[in-house]
Amino acid sequence: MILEVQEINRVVQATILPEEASLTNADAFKEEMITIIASGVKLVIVSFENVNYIDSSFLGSLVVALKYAMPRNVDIYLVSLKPDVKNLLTLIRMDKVFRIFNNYDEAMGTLH
Amino acid sequence: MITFPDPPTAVKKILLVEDNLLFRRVIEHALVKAGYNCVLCESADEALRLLLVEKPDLILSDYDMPEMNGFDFRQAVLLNPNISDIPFVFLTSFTDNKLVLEGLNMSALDFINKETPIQVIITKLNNIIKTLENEHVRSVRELKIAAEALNVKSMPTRTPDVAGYRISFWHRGYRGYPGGDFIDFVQVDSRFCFAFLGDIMGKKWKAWFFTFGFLSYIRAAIRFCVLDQDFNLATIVQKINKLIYLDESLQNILSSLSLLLLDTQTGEVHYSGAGDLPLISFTPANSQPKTVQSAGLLLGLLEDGFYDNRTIPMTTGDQLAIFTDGMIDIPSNGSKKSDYPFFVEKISPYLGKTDSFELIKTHVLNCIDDSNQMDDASIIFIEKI
Repeated sequence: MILEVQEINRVVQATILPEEASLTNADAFKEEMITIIASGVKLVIVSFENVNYIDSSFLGSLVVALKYAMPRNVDIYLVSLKPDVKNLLTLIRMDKVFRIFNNYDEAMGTLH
Repeated sequence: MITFPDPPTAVKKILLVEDNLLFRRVIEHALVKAGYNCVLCESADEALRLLLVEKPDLILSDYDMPEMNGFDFRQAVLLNPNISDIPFVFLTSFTDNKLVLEGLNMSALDFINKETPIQVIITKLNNIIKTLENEHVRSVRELKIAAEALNVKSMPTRTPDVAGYRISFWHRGYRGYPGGDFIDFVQVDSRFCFAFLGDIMGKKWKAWFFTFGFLSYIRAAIRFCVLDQDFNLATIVQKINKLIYLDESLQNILSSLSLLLLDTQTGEVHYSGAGDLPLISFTPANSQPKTVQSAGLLLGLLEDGFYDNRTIPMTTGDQLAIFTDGMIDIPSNGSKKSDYPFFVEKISPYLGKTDSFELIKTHVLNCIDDSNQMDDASIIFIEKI
């Protein structure tokens, strides 16, 4: 399992467990994300609190999950990104397609 | 030229599944002494849980264990496609011929009697691992021959001659695999030359197979726009994006792209980027390099990728570096990190020299090797002369 998942009221909090989000766990992450999205939720909040490094394979899986979510009207938010990871995502403009928050509470706050 | 060195002969990891503590310790000791990394499990159940997160190079399993026996364990492994191809060997005191045959019929590579002297057991395992390694090298070599016969290259063989510019490039695939980075130059006429660099998200063969589809789309889109006398890069990138977005076979494949157009008449370099890293631009008048960031999203992500046009006026001595994310990934205190400012800082001392690119190669690029490379790494370096 790559994700630790908690669901409340069709909102899923999914915490990425490995510190290194890379080729070795990118496929598993993609499958777990797609399973969550297909289960009828409305929002998946992915926490990067453990992630120190993300490679392009894992970024690819994240984007594939987004492409799967969009036509199903499921949102994906990213939270708790460490500075290096956040900088990389911003450099390649991923912040334009994912909403990014400092933590779960901040992301949940947008729902009310 | 694609290089395929032999895979690095890293320490091999063997998973030992054995319920008997004493025997577990004896085998572990011998394996570690023989230079292997050994992971121990006392039940098949524990091993199956471990195999979700660890991928050993070989599984060595007892037959007679309480709860799930070795055969049931083997069946469970075979049913999981993520681990079913890990070499599997039985090590057991049951030597009944019928049982041995049943074990071997479950695609086990060997059925070793526990009474066998420990040194012989280790030698057998050494031979199995060596044979598999040779098989891997042979497969890679055959793929290489096939790829060369098809004349498919994701890197150009030479740099183009463009009046007023000096162009260089460098590429190193992740651990010597060809990978998902690509570079190409399209010389339109004596005035215009396109240069582009992209990175298919992913590594090794899986990414490499898709580079040719992307390259064909990019080359075709450039050619069609040139035929229409349309040199607007944002339009060209949007066309490429749309082709890729609509192509069902590329649905789950994304790529970055930095597309540049060198104009020898005005000295300008036009640029549009798709989810790429910002370029580094250096002009001798300022001692510090600047970054040039584009607005566009990764190719294939959305139907409209918000592509924009940037123009970089270049005069004599100006330099421009375009590179993929493998350049900014570095090992740090035993883990890994991506650090764009660190890369800028690393190459900065060598900018603004007459032999900048040679210096960068010597002091930065040649230091990238199997021990510290995290991803495919590529760079194009453009100088106005």
